[in-house]
Amino acid sequence: MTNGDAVTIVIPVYDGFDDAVACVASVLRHAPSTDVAARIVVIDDASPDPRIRTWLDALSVEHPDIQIVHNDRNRGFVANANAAFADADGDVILLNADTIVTDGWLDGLVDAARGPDIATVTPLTNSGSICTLASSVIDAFGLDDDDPDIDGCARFIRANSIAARPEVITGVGFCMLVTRTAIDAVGPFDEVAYGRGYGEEVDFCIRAGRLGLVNIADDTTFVFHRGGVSFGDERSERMRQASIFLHKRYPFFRAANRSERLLDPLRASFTALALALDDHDPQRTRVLHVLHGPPDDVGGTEKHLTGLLDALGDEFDFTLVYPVESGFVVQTRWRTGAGATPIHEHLLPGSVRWVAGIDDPVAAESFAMALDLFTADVVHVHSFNGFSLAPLRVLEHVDAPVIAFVHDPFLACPHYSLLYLDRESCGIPEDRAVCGRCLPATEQLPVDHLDEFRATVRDHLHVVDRWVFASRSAADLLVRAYPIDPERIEIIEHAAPIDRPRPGLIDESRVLDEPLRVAFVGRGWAKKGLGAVNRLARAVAETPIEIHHFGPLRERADDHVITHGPYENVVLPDLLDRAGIQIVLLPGPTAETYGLVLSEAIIAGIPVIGAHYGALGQRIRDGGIGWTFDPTDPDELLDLIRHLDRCRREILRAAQRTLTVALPSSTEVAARYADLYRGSTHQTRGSR
Amino acid sequence: MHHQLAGQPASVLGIVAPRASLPSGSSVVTVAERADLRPDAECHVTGVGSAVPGAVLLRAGVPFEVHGDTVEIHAPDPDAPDVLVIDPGAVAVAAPTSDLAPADPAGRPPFRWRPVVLFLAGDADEPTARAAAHTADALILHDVEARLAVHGPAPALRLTQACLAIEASVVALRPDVIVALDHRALEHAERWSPTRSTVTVAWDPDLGASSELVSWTIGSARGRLRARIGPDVEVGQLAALLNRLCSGPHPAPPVDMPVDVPADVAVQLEPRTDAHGSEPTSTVHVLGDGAGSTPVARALIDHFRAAGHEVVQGRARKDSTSDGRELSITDLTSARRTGTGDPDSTIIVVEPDDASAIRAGDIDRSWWRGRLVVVTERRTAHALRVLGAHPIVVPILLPPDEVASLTDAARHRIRPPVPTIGWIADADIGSSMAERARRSTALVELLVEHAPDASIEIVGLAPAEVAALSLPEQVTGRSIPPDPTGLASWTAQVWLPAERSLTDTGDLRTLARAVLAGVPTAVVLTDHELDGRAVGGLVDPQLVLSGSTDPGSWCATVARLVTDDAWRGARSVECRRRAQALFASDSARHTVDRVIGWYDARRPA
Repeated sequence: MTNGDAVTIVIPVYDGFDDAVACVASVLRHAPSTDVAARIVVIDDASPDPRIRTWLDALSVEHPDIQIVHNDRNRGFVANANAAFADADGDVILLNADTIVTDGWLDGLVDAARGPDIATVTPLTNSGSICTLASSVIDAFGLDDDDPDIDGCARFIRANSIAARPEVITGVGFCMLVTRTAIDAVGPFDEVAYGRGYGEEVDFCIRAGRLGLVNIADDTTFVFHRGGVSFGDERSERMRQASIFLHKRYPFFRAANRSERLLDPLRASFTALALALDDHDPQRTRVLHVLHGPPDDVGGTEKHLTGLLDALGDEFDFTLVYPVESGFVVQTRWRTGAGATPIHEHLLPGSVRWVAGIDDPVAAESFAMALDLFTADVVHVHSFNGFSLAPLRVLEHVDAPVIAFVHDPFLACPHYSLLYLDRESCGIPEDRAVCGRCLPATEQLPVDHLDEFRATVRDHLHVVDRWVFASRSAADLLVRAYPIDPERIEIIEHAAPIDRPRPGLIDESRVLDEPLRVAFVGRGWAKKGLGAVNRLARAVAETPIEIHHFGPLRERADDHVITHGPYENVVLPDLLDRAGIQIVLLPGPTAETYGLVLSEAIIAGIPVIGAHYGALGQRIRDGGIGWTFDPTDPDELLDLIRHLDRCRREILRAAQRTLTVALPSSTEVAARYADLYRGSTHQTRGSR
Repeated sequence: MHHQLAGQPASVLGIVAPRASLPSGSSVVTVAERADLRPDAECHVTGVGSAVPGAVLLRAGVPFEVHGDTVEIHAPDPDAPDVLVIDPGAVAVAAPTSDLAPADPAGRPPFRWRPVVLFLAGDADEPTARAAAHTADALILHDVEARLAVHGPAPALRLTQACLAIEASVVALRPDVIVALDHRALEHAERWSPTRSTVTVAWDPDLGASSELVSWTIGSARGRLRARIGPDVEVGQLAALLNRLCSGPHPAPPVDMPVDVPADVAVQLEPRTDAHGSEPTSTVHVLGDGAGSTPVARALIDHFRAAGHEVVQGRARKDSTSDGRELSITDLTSARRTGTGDPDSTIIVVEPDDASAIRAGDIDRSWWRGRLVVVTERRTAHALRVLGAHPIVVPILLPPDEVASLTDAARHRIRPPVPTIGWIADADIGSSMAERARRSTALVELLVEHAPDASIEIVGLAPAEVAALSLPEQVTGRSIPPDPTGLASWTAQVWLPAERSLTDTGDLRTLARAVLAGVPTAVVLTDHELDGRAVGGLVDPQLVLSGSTDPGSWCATVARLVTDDAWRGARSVECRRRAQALFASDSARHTVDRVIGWYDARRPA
C-alpha cells in the first residue's frame, strides 16, 4: 500500500540521449496535471555520450526541483534502483529512459497502488511482456511507426478500460511502481545475483508474492516504451542468464509464467479495448447468442443460428459466445458506420471445451465477463452445453431480457436423449427410482446429481423471459420437468431446411406401380433406430419390398439394407426421387423436438413413418403426412410396412397430403425472432 | 373405384363395392382401410342383370335401379358380354347398430396416424353418453378415430360402432387417449390403460371452459390425467388437444422387461456381401433394328452393362435356356413400327422428344394399355398413366463414359481469356429456324447489354444463321453442342425460355452435362415448373429464374455470373457438389436396380 510520502520517480540514464530527453520531457509535461506529490530523480550512470551531462546540467538549472545524480562509474540499473529505494521515503517508480509517459499516468499508477497489499504496479504499454497491448490497438495508434499517436492511445485506454487491474505474477521493469510496503517487506533488488540488471524485478516480485503481496497491471494507464534499448548488444545474453538463474532459484516459475501467458489475466482488458476500436452504431439492438460450439459447425443449432444472422443482420448487431478447447470465444458481428459487418473474435479465459458439473465456476466467470464486456440488449440462449448451468445463475444479475431456445431436453436431464437405458423414451418419469437405474448406466451419474441439477434449473426458471420451442411437444416435454409459465412459452417452427420449390405433383406411377421402397434417412446407429431397420430388412428380405438407407453408417447395417452412404443435404429430395423412394422411415425411439429430416421428406413429397410421440408424431398426425408406430414394438412397424405395401392408395393419400403442409421460410422464422427481440427490449426485469 | 374402373376394359360396366358390416369398436374409416388391404386377386366378376348389395360405380349411360340396399344394373346391350367387377377392397359400410359387444381388435385402424380416442363410460348417465356419442362422430370427420364404450343402451352413432365398456375393449383398441365420462371410468382408465403412452382426459359436465389442461409436471401430476373437457368443447379444438396429448410425454414410466431383441444392432458380423451384387444378373435383350441407338435407350443399356448385367442384341431363341432373369428393351419407334417385343413384358424407352406426340394423342390410346414404359420426364409419365400404360420415371441418364469425360473436363478446366456464355437455343427444335432466330435476337441483345465483355455462343443456330441476325460481334453460333472440354471452358450456360419450356422438352441432359462440367446454368422456368424436381436437382436454386419476372432481371443474374468471380465460383462449386451427389459411382447400379424391381413387379407372373 502506498503511504502519504511523495512518490519518487527514478530515471536511470545510460546513453540513448534522444530517448532520455523525450522521457524526461514527458514526465515534466504531465507533472502539472497531477495532484500526486512526486520527486524526480534522474541518474546519469556514467554515460559515455557527453551530451547527457550537458543536458542534465541544463535541466538542473531549469528545474531545480529535479534531483540529478552523476555516477562516477557505471553502476548498473539494479544498484541505481536500490539506491533510490534507500533514498526515498515513499513509493518508487522505476522508469526506463526509453519510455514516454502520458497524461494521468502518475495518478493512475498511484491510484492502483492504493489497493491492499500491493507490491508493484505496471501500466499497459506497446512493448512490455505481458502488459503489451493487442496488435489491433498498437496498429490503430501507429505505436510501431515513426510517428506514434501516444497521447491518443493513452486517452483511448483511459476512456475504454474496464479497470480490472488484474493480478500478475511479476511486474515489468520498463515502468514499475514499487510500494514502500513492498520495499520495506522484501528489501532491495538482489544486486549480487543480477549484477547490472535483467531479471531483478521478477525476483523482487516473486519474493513479494511469497510475503502475501500482489503485483498488478494497471489497465487504465498507458506508457510508451521504445523497447530493446537497454543494454544494447548485451540484452540477449543478459535475458538468457536471468532466465537460467530465475529457474534455478524458483523452479516453478517457468511453468507459472507459461500458464499465465495462456490464461492471460489481461485478456478481458485487452478484449474490451479491441472491441472499443470497432466502429459501431450504439443505437442498434445487440443480441448475444449463447451456443455450444462455433457457428460454422455442422448441426441443426448452427444452421438455425446462421439463418437468423443472415436474415436479421440489417436490423440487429450480434455477439456470439461459445466454448472452444482453450476457453470461450466471443465473436462480434456488429455493423460499422460504413455498412460492413466485420467478424471479430476474442478469446476469454476458460479451460476445456466441455465443462463438467452443474455450475462450472470457470464457465460462469467467462460468461459473466462476456456479458460485462459485450453490451447485450437481448440474450438468446441456444444451448447450455459446454457452459454447465452456470449461465442461468449469471443471468440472474443481468438486466437484458433472456430468450432460451430449447433445441434439446438437456435442461430436463443430463442424459438428454431421454432414452431410458438408451432403449426407449422415458417421458421424464415421476418415479425417481427409474432415473436411479438409468443415469448411472448411461451417464455414470448418481441420481442425486439429477436432483441437484433440476433444483438448480427450477430455482432459475424466472431468469428466462421467453422459452422458445420448435414444436408444442418439445414444450410439453420440458413442462413435464418444470412448471414453466405457459405465458412465457413461444412455439417457433424451424425454417424449411432446404431452399427449393416444393413439388406440385406426386408421381403416381412410382407410388402405385413400383416395388415398395422405404428409406431410413439419417445417421445409421441404434439411437436412431438402425436396429429396427435391420430387423425390418431381414423380415422383408424375401419380398419385393426394399429397405434403403441414406446417411453415414455409425454401426453395421444388415446386408439386406441397400445403403447409399452420406448425402448432400440440398440434393436429398433428388436422391430419394432417383432411388424411387416412396416412404421415409425415421425409426428412432427419441422424442424428437422437431425433425428436420421430416421437413426434408415433406419437401421431397414423400410421407414419413415415425414414433407416435414427440414432434414426429405430432407433425405426422397434424398433417396426415405419414404414419406413426411404437418404436418398442418391432412387429407394429413390420405390420405397417406390409399393410402399406398392399395398400398403395394409402401411401398416395399421405404423399398428396405432404403437398399441402406449409413449412415456414427462413424469412418468416427470422421475423418471429425479430419480433421477440424487439418486444423483449421493451421489457424490464420487474415485469418478469 | 374410379381408378379401378379406368383400368378396366370397356366390357366392365361398373365396379361394385360390396356391403360390409361395422365390427364392434370400429369406424367406417377403419373398415374402409381394412378392406383396402385385401388383395386385388379377390376381385371377381358378376354378370349384369342381378341385384348387388352395396354401392356401384357405373360407366356413364348404364341404366340401373336401386332396391333398398341393393342395386340392379341393366345391360345397355343385351347381346354384349358385359360384366361388373366386385371389388372387396371398396366397401359400402353398414350403419352402426345398437348391439353392444366387446371391441373387436379389427376396430383399431391398420394405418396408425389418426389418434384412437375411446370415450369410456363407467356409470355415466344417458345424456352424457349421448353427448359423447355426438362428439365421437364429429371427431371422425376431424381425422380422429373416436370410439365409444358404454354399458348400454348404446346411443345413436353414425360413423362408429359402440362397444362394451370393459377392459377387453380397451385392450383390443389400445387407445392413445381415453376420455373418461365419469369418475368410475377415470379409475378404470388408470387401471386398464394398455400402453405406457395412453393418457386420460376427464369429461366434466360442469366445466365452464370448453377444455383445460391438468398439470403433468412431475411432483404435481395426477397419474395419466392430462386435461378436462366440457360438453361444449369445439370439435376442431378438441381434435387439436387430443393430437397434442398423444405426442407425449409418456405418463407412465418404462418397465424393465426382458427385451426380445437387443436395442443395439443384432447383425452377425460376417464379412459383408453385397446383397445386390450377389443376385443373379439379368440378360437384357435389345430388340428392334434401331434399338439402343436413341439417347435414353443407349444410356439405359449402358447402365445395365455398368451394373454388371449382360446385354445382347435380339430376342433369345426359343430353345435357349437361362438361369437368370431375362428382360427385353426397345425404343418407341421400333415398338410401333415393327410391333417388336411382347407388349406385356418388353420395356419401351420413350425419348423426351416423343413426349409431345404422346400428349398430343398421336398414338392410339389403346396401344399404350398395359405397356411397360421408361421415361425421364414426369409429366409424360402422368399422361401415359392416364392412357393405361405402366410408366417409370428414371433419373436423367447419361452414359457412364460421358459422365467420366465431363467430370475429367471439369477437373482440368482452363479459364478462357474472355468469359463465354453458352446460350441453349435447341429447346426450340420443332419450330423453324427463322422463328428461333427471331425469338432469340431480342434476348441476346438484352444479355449483351448486361454483359458487354462476354462472348456468347448460341447452341442450335449455325454460324451463318447468327451472322444473318446482325447481332453484336461477340455473338457467334454453333450447330452442335461443344465437346466436354469446350463445355467446361464456358463461364455459364443459359437456358432462357423458348416457345416450349424446358420441362416440356423433357430433355434435361443438357443441364446434366453442364453440372458435370462444373458450368453453372441459369434456367428460366414457368411458374408451374418451379417445382425443384422439374430440373432434377441439377440446377442451383439461386439460378432458377421465374418466367413471370422481367427478362431484364434474368440477364442481370447471368451477367453477375460473368462479372462477379466470387459468386460465379460459389455457383460452380455448387454444380460440382450436385454432380458428385447425383452422379456418384454407384448411381448406375441404383438406377438399374430400381428398373429391375419395377419390371419384376409389373410383368405378368
